[in-house]
Amino acid sequence: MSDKDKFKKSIDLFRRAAKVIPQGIYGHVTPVFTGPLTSPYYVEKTKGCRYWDVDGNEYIDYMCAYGPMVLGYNNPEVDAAYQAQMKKADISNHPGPIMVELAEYLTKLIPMADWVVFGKNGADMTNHSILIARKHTGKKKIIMVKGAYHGTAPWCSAGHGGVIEEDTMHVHSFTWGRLDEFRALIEKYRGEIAGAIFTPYHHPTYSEQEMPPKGFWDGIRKTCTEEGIVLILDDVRAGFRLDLKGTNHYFGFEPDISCYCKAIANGYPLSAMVGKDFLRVSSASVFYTGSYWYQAGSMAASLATLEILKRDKGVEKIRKMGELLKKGLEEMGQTHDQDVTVTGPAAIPFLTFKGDVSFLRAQLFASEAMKRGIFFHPHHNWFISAAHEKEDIEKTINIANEAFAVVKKTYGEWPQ
Amino acid sequence: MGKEYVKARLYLHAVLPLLEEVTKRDKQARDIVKKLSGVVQFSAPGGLYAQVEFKNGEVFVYPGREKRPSVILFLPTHKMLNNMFGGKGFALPIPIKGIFRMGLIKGFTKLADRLSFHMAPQTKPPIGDEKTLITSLLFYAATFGAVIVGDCDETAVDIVKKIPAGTALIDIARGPSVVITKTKDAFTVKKGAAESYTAHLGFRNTDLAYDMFTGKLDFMAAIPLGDATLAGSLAMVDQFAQLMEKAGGYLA
Repeated sequence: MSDKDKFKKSIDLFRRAAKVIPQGIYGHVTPVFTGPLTSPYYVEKTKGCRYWDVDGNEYIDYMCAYGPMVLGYNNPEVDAAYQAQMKKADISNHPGPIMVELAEYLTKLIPMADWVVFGKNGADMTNHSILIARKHTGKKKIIMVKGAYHGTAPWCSAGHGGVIEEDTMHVHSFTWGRLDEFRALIEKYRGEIAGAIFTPYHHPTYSEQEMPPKGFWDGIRKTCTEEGIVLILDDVRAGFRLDLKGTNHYFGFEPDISCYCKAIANGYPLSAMVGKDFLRVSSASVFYTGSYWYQAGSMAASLATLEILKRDKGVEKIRKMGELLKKGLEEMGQTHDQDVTVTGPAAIPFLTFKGDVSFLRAQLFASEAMKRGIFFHPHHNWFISAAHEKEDIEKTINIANEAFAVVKKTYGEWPQ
Repeated sequence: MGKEYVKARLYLHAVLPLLEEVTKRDKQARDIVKKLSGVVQFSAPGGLYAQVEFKNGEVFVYPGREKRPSVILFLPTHKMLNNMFGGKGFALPIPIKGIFRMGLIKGFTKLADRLSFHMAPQTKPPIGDEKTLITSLLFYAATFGAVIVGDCDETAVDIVKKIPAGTALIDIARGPSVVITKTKDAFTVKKGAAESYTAHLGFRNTDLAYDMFTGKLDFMAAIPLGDATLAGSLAMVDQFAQLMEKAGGYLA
C-alpha cells in the first residue's frame, strides 16, 4: 500500500478543508511539519497512549496531543470528574466553587505560588505575565531567549506575517545559557527592563533541546532580583511532567511568576498562572478576562489530573518510561550506524541525528515509524505520558529498529 | 546598506538577468537580439556593475565587469538607477563610453521593453507559453532576489542568521530550478539542479508556481496535498520564503 493509500481519508478530508480553512490545518498540528502525504492528518479515536487516524491506522503516540495528555487519552477518572462538574454547572454567570478549590490546591502544591489566575491557552498566561511585569515595574522592556516559543502574540513573534517592528521594539533576546549575554542586555537597558521570560530549559523547534548550564538559573535569579526585573517562567510545555511543584523546583530556583497549561488538566482546556505575593496587586490591576476562562468542567478535570499524578507517582513513571525510550533509541541508532541523540528531560525527549541540519534522516525515520504504528515528530520535542507502559516502549524500540534500517539503506551511515 | 542600494542590486542582479529568459522564450525578443552585438555595461556607486552581452543571437548577463564593454552607462545615484529600471521618469543616461553605439542601446531598450511587457501586471490571467514564461521570470526574480536581499539588506540580518549552512534546491517540475548555497561567509544562487540538498522546495507544475509567485497560493495547504514539495530543513525554506517576500516588496 502506498503512503497516499494509507492516508487516503486524511488527504481527502484535507482537500475539503483547504477550500474552507486557510492552510487546511493551521498551527503546530499542520501535516507540513509531521510529513506531507506520509503522516496522518485527522484523528478518529483515542485511548491511553494510542490513537487511530481516520484511515484506521493505529499509533502509539509520542506527542500526547503536543503535551496535554499527561495521564493518557480518555482517562476515566479525569473524564468522570469533568462529567460530574458538567452535570452541575460548567459555563455560567459565575465561577463555580471548583475555581477556588483548584486555586487553593495549586498554591499548596507549588511552593512559590501565592495566587493563581486561570485562562485557556498557554499564551493567555505568557501575554498576561508580560503586562503584570510592566504594570509592576512601570518599565517597557522584556528580555527573552532567541528561538524560544511563548505563543503567537506579536510581542514574541517577530518575522511572522502581520507583526510590525513596533510590536517587538521593546523585546530583546539573548542566546540560551549565555549569562554574559543576558547581563550585557541588562547593562545596555538598565532601568528600562520590566521582565525576563524563560522556559525552564531550551526546547526550540528544529533543534536539539538544551538543559540549563550549571549556575545558569542561580545567575538569572540573582540578576533579576538585583535589578528589580520580574522573572517569569513559561512552564507551559514542561509543567507537571518533570515535577508537580513546578519545573523551577526541578531545577532549583524560584521565578516570580510561572505559567502553566498543557498537562494541567489532561486535555481539558485550561491554563493557569501562579505568582508571588508582591505581584498580587499588579496582577489585579491588569485588564484580564475571557468568555470561557471560568469554565468549571476543565477546573474539575485539572484537580483530578493533579491528584492522580500525585497519588500514582505519575511523574516518576513518566520519567522511567522516557529513560527506557531514550536508552533504547540511542542504542538502536548505534546498531544501524546512526549517531543519534535524545535530548531534553526523559519525560519530554527529542531524537535528532547529531548535527544533521537538513532533518532529512529524522523525517524519513519518523515517516517509517508512522508506517509501522509509532507517531514520532521529526521536528518537535515529544511527550511521554503515564499511560505508556514498558510493553509500549519495547514495541516502539523494535519498530525503531526497522525505521533506522530504512534510514541507513536510504542515506547510509551517519555521520557519513 | 540603504534601501535604494538594495533595490539597485535587485534590478542589476535579479531583474536584468531575466533578459536571458525573455530572449529564449519570446520570438519578438529573439528578433531584436539577432541584430545586436556587443556588451552594455551598467555602473552605479558602491561598486555595482552588470553587463549585458549580445552575441550570436543570444543574451548573457553578468554581475561584474569582466567583459570589455561596448557601451558604459553610468548611473550617478542608486535612486536614478532604480527610477530608470522602475520606469519612473528617467530614460537611459548618456553613455560615458560608446556614444556612437546608439543602435546597441536602442536594441537593449527594445529588449528591456519586452521584459517589462511580460513583467507588467496582467489584465487577463496568462495562459500557455506566456504563463510559462512569466512564471519563469517570477521564479528567477524571487530566488535571485532573495539571495541579494539576504546579502545586503540590513533588515534581513536576523533572517539570514537563522538559515543553516547548506544547499537549497528550489524548482518547478519540468521547469526552472535554482540551487542556493549558504556557507559561513557566502550566500549564493545559481541556475541548475542539485543531487543532494539540505532543503528542497518544489512545485508540481507551472500553474501552482505561478499562483505561488503572484500571491494566490495557500502554500501551507498545497504541501499536504502534494501540490508543493517541502523536504529537508524547514527552517531554511521558511527563512528563504521571508527573503523572497522582502525582495518582492522592493520590486513591487
